[in-house]
Amino acid sequence: MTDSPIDFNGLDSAVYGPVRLGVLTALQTDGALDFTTLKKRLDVADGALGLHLRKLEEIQYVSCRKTFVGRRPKSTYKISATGRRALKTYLGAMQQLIDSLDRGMNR
Amino acid sequence: MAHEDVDRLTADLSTIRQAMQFDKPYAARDVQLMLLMALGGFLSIPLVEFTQWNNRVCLLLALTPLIVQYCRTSAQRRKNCAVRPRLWQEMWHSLVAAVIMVPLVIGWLVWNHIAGVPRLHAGGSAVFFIGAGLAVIGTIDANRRSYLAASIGMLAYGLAIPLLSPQQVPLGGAIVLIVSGLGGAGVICWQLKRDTAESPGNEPR
Repeated sequence: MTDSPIDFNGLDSAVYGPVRLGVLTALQTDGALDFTTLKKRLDVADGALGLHLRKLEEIQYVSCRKTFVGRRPKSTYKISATGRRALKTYLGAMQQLIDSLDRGMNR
Repeated sequence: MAHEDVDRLTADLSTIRQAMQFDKPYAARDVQLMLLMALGGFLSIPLVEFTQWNNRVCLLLALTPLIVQYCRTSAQRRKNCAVRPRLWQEMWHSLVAAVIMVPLVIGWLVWNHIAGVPRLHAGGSAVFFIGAGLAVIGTIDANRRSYLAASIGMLAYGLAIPLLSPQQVPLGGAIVLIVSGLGGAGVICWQLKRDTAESPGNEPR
């Protein structure tokens, strides 16, 4: 039995995790970003980032546009309305946790 | 509240800071501070050359805009330290380093005086070693490349001080302020531009 004000386990698991939360935050803040920029910013390996981006794309939290710059492939990702809603819900849960701590301090 | 929740919250906040690039120890405001340092150098030259005031008073007057802005920036970063803790940490560490360095440099000068070393030689070596310390920090930490701009000026100035006349020393100091300020501003501008630019590079097919 937990005394937590929110059940993190009941939250959208697709948002949780440093890579997915980081990707959605970066895309929400800066608009569309390409794969290499995301990789550098979040400091993750190609494979791990590719895996998480594919998952986010499958559940339609992000959209991907593939182009070629010269002979190099370039994938640019953008957060979708669904992804934005999911991020907002997740941040709301974090805020709820902070509020409960704040209430505990004021008691 | 469970410890796991707090840990998770901490980890998530850290991820959000990283994604929003709030984990960098520099910001656009630092460019302004660097430019004010260069301005202080520019202003100190006529004050030293054309007034009869003490050199320290001239330097203090010329650096007043920088000192005022530094205090305002410190207060603002202290207030926002929960959002961007790295910026406040950087400022706090530089203040602590300055508080530690001042008595050490005074001690070094006194010790050299007792040992009979000329004042300019002792001062030059102190400036040189501070420059060397900044060069090490600027080289090993990619986020602190702007320290290199200050270190280059200080290393050269430290070597040059024993060769200068006492009248030329304050002018040399003013030039170091100008070089460090402009160089530091340039490096921070480059870092800010690089952070927002798209990265060229390969991606998996």
